[in-house]
Amino acid sequence: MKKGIIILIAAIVVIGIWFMGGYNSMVSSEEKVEAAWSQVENVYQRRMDLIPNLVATVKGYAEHESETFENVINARSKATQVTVSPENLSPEELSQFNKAQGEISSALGRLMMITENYPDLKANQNFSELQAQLEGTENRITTERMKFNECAKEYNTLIRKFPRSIIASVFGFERKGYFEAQEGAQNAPVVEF
Amino acid sequence: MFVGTKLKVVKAVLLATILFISSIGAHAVPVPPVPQRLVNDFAGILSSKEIHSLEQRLVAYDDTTSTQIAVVIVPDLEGMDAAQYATEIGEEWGVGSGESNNGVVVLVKPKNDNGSGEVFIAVGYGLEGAIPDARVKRIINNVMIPRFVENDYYGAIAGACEALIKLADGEEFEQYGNSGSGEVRFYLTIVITILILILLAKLSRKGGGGTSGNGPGGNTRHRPRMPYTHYGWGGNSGSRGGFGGFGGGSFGGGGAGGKW
Repeated sequence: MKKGIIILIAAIVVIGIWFMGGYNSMVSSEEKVEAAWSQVENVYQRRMDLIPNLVATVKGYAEHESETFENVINARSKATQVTVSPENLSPEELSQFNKAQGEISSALGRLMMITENYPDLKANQNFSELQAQLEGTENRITTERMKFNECAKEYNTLIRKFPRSIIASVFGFERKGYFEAQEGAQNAPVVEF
Repeated sequence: MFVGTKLKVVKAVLLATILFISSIGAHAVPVPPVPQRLVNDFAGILSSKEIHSLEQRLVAYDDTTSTQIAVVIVPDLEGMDAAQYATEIGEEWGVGSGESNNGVVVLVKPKNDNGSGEVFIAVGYGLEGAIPDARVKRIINNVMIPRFVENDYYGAIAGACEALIKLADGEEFEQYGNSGSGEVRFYLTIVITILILILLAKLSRKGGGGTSGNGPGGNTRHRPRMPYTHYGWGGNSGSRGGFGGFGGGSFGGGGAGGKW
């Protein structure tokens, strides 16, 4: 009788430790995802901050392209309204964010394309610095998205594997979303003959 | 605890194998040569004398400031974007110290049968302030490309390194230093683990039951090291200037590039 109780207590302790360890590793994994997310937000914000300056500079040389400017500005203001809560990062939220930012990307792409038609603009020192900054920001976005995806994948694997998934469902750890590749983001390899 | 580490090792090995297999067909950045060095000419563009003097200069700079500038010359970007390629090298090799992230990767793909020449200078997180993208762009346009066009690869790379060093000198880095909070947590974990083990030992002696806790694997991000089997052709032996090895620096995509 007494032995049975002790075994029971021991089992409870072991399960408790297992729960605690599982819970803690999920917490720190989730924290890592959140840290990666804040980096992602930083680099996107960096791009947002560049836009007014960039548009103003291009406008000085290419007044007739007002539609392109409007597209960029509209996409930017739309994207500022899409907020993602770092505690959630659900697939739906993330795909919404991704879509809004993707619109900025394509609007910016068009803006940079029209600059090709204005040699004076291309020779402008201020513009070439802005261009370098924009390129650098796009590279940072690619890198941080990739890092975020890695963290999210690690976290998702952690919470979905049995038997740890039990702990995850008890404490309400939910799956995080990934960044899907944007259209045109992945350049198809050019075949040359 | 041990089950966790074992699992982690198995996972890492599996991942490394998968990465290796996929690297045969798909793109992957080269692995750092053993012994590690700062000047890595996989394309055989520089003479061994040039490599030697460049290596010496960069190792000396690493020794005094802990800032690491790695030069990597590859014959082919294997379909990757130069920016992505350089950033990945920085991240995989761990250029710069892990605390300061003060690494720079100068990636050069010479003009050859595989297409036009490309260059990208990737800047680690810790140097993004001292070496902004626009300045890097200027170095590439003013220092490197004119010399690349004249086939002066050494001049272009050495000139860029000097310009980068000048910029990086604006930033001071601590050589080594640890924050306290991590250590405290580490010791606390050990103490608690010991206490629990004692408790368990006592219980099992009394009751005969209870296996030790199934500790979960740690959650440190495990970057699988790819096996050291890179096509090391064209590798002129680097100098023996005593490069201490890469320090685990991290890269966020900063820097700039160009083509010619």
